[in-house]
Amino acid sequence: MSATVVGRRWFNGEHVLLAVVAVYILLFAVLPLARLLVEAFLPDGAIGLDLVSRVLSSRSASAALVNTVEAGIASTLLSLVIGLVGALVVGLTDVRLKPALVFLFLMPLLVPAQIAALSWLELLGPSSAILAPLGLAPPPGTRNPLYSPEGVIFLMGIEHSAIVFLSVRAGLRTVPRNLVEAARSAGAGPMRIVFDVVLPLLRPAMVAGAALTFVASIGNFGIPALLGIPGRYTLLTTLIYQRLSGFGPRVLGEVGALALMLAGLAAAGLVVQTLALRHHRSPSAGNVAMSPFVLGPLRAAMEGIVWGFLILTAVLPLAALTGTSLIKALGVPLSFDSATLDHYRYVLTEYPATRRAFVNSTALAGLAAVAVAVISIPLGHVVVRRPRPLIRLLDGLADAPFALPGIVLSIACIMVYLKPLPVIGVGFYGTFWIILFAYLGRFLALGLRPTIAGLRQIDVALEEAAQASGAGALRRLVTVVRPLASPAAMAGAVLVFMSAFNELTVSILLWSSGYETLGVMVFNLYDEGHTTAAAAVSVLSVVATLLIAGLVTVAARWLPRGALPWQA
Amino acid sequence: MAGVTLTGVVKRFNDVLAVDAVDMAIVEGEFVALLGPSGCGKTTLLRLIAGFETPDEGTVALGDEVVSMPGRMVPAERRRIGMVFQSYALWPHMTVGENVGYPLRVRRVPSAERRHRVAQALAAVGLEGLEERRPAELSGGQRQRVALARCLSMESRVVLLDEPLANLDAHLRESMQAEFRAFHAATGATMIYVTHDQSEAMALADRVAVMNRGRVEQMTAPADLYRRPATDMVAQFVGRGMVVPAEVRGGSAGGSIRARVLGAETLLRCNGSAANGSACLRPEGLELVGPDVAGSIVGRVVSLTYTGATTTVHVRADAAPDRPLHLHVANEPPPPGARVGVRVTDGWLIPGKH
Repeated sequence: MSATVVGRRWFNGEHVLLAVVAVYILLFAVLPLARLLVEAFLPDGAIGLDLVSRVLSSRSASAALVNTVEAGIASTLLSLVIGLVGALVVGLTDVRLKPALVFLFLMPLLVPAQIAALSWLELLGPSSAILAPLGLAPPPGTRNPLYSPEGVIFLMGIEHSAIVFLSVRAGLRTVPRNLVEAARSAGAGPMRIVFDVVLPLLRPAMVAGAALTFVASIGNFGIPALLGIPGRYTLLTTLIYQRLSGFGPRVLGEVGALALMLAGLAAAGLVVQTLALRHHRSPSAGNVAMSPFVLGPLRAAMEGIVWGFLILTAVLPLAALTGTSLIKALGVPLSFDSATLDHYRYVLTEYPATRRAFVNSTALAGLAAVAVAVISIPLGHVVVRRPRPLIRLLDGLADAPFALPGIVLSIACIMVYLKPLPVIGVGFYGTFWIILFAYLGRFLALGLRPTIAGLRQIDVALEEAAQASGAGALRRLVTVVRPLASPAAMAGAVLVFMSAFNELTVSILLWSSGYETLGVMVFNLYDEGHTTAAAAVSVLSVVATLLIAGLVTVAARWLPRGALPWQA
Repeated sequence: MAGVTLTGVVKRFNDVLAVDAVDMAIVEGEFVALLGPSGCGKTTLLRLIAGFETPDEGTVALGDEVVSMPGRMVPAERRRIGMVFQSYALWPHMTVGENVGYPLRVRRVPSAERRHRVAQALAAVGLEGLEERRPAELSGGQRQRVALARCLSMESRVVLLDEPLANLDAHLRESMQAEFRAFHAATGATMIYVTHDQSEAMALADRVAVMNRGRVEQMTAPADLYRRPATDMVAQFVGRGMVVPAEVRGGSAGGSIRARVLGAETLLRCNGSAANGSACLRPEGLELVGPDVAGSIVGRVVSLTYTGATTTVHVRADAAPDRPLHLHVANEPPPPGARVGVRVTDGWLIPGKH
């Protein structure tokens, strides 16, 4: 249907806009990942197939590969149990204070891995501000029990349970209420209904959630870095980091091969996820939420268990972190008299690197959020209104940098930007810009999804009415689509900001002196033994994130349904 | 203002033929209703005229200008065709005044003149002074008036209405019908109105095009549609006419023809054709007589439906038990089971296919 359109220039505003969108995706998503593949599979590429096979056969790499798969599977199983049970309790029973429970179950989405790891280390370490007063802390000088494979797996299991929780919760919404009621009238009790009806129907959601969790686990850097490196439990992400920070860009080919392995594992996980959701049913409009199972006298007990678990896993670690940030020095017990805000003053006013990190992360996250929001409206609009094969391909490519582990993207970005770019002759390696370019690719999908959800809710007649009124494509986009899609795009921008603000996996390989991010700062301070300062930076960034999350939650009634993941 | 001419228009969606070789000539200033069951292609036809769809074959012309043909399209935004949607399609982020003034803003009409024309358009639909309201603050009927005012302000050559009253309740519908008629009288715009409600179509339109499976079955004035349906489908769809087999006896003379209908000799109106086929009977053209009266259809009363002033009597004719007849009687009806005769006082020999 490529009808020649009369009286319209072939080169118009709409085409310019489409070109901008396409260039954005090609530049920030396709170029780095394509470069990585080219280096690996072209004969004169920096990686080359023989290097891939040589790296694969090296002892350290194969150990890291085995560890990665092991930790990925084991932590995924733990996440599955926590997320599934949590989602079933919240979704199917009459426990009270559900919004609070949902928020706590999804807390790991707001607390980045390196901060979670630090919090747990402080909770279970010898100087624990929580356990020490109770006499439960390990004696001073003992090794933190989390410095171990079990520690890595345990913490990743908790950190990623939110992914399963979200997936199962969304799946529960597609379970037709009448199937549950039919089982009830057939005489089945709640447990039977859960096992015979609900769980079988939830299988796709469980499999998809578990696959995503696996992808998240193998791509995690913060937890294996803070727990695994001292525990001598090396995963692919930490091996890449150690090689590259130890030997510099001359081992780029070798770490590229490792990144490809990681990308391969992730791709396998994503294929499983796609297959699981192949026959995905979207919740039918008339599908009323099923009435919760009445727990009766068991309700108090159930609430006790769930709250106990969440306080232990979501609240206490952050409390311990806050405690550490307030003590005078490691080993000094926390009390009202000894508490001090010195570390906060230090990181905010005295130590230049942390001050820079706050500025850098705010600028990077802000720029990425604005750019993604601006590009996601025209991109989302063509995806929703003209789902042609080429557009769908662009849409899929836009997802890749977010779906694949962040460290894969940063290796790919180093490959693209290490040498000054041809033609323009400008080098971006070692600057602020390489981190921004990586973020622009990495967080596009995060901002695009809510925008698309919002765009789908716009009645197409509103655009057709504008067209009948004489408005051309660009004008319709600016005067009709943009204002209506803005709340969703803003929600996307907020998600991008929160994620980028605390991000570590991408910037850990791309930062350089002067261009530190907050995530890098927490990691470096801890690495150098400035635990109290690391805790202070962490507390500040968690508070900032929670504040933003709180603000958008208050604003949620102006947002399209499903724009905020923790409200899904 | 301009007429609309469709020539051999075909539109397929994948393998489904949504519009099948439609020819239609709508004269300037005419009010035409497109009537048909859901899925008959009436909305697709409207969207082809608006320019939201491209025809696979055939052409669409506005006045003398061909605006659509395969491979060559004047985009919808260049057609100056007003459209009123079932969902009103008012932009929620703009005020009523901004909604109505949008087509003028697009055309860079200076703001003073724009304000004036918006006020005029709103006054014409009885909403003067509501410029600053938001669409969400208005009732359904008011919203549809705003949509109408939007077409008014842009001085559309043609106004298309896609089931504009489907979301309104019954009493509002009647007043909006009056609004549409007044709009038509005041502007003289060519109006094309899609609906599945035949009484709406008959009440509003100069001519009604009945569509079925992508084709136009008949396009004529409402009275004609009822009195002289061209096909079985039109006869049944409009006024739920009874279609029964008719066996022609002799030639037509003076617009009538002798025919045998369900075993009875009758005189049917006809348009000159004298082929065997079917007859369209209406309840008001049937009369209940005794079972032995010559020239009547013999049958048995199946059931009675009381409707107040009259009673509808359902009769099963011996000659065709599968084609039940019904007619109205004002006095005491015969009981169910009674044998009766039905005399045809008025019937129409359907000329078209059946």
